[in-house]
Amino acid sequence: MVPGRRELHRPPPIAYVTMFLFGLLVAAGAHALRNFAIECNQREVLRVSSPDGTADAVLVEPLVSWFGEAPSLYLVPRGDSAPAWGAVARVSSYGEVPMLDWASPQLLEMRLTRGCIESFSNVWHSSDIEDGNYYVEIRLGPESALTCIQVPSPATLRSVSVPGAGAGAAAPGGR
Amino acid sequence: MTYASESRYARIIRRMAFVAVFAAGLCVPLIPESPPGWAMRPVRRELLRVPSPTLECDAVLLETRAGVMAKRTSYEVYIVGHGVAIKRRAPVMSATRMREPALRWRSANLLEIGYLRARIEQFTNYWPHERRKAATPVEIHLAPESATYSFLVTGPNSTAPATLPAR
Repeated sequence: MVPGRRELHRPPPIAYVTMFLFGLLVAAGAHALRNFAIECNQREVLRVSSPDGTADAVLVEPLVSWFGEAPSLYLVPRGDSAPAWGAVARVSSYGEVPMLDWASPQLLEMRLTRGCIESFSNVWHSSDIEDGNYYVEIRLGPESALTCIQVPSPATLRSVSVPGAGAGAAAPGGR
Repeated sequence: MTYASESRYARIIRRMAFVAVFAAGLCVPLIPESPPGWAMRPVRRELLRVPSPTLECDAVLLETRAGVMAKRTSYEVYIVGHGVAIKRRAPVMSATRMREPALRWRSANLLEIGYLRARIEQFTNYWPHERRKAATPVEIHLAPESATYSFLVTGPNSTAPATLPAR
């Protein structure tokens, strides 16, 4: 070292690793805090147990609408509260509360008279029930032709037959 | 360059490196569980294109094969302007293991997606998603052929629980 010069401080690699882990910790903490806030902000609107008593379908909506997710449908092991993530359906703009009907122990139908489906997936699975071999299928049952959109006049709802316009088609394959 | 300036630059770089490493840690949860589409180089094939009765828009069914990193075939339904190519927009439906898919316009505002069997991963029942007033809004319904299970299967013994179908 040259006398009189300050020694250049080089942080050891562990300092960078620590900073990386600190960033990871902050992110995980923020995520946990967000989930906790969402859980605190939601209230149960409807809970319907499956016929075999294994799972509950729970519809929740946020207490404070500007914070949190849209009204959501969760499936949970019986008696559990709705989590903050993993909703099988998110519904908005519904007037009446959607009806939840268990057609069989593993088949749930959600019937909507009015409302928009923001997101939906038709299979739910929990690793906490029957060693992860318990599945539930969810179906949507719109009660009317249009439950979400509003059209300007009934005339636009008419089925129109236009040459060249296909009324429907099926794909040859699919697997 | 004097030693003082050298030291100042070194300090700035060191602090920036610390911030970058901290930010990298922050961003780890943002890494998607499955590789993004561009990394998988999906092969997309248009299976169906059905124009609406008023010819304002088309319903399009795409088959997407992402074989490099995730060997699976998925099916996506888009609604686009009549004759328009599909842009990078969110599909109205995304499914896997779909059998006998079909698209049917029940009216100018109502599209029905039929199928014998499918695992629906993402579905939304209205288009456009931005809820613009200009475009003709379209509502989408799922119409599985079966009145009971359309993905899970039950064994010959009706009391046995429904399970996932074999591939």
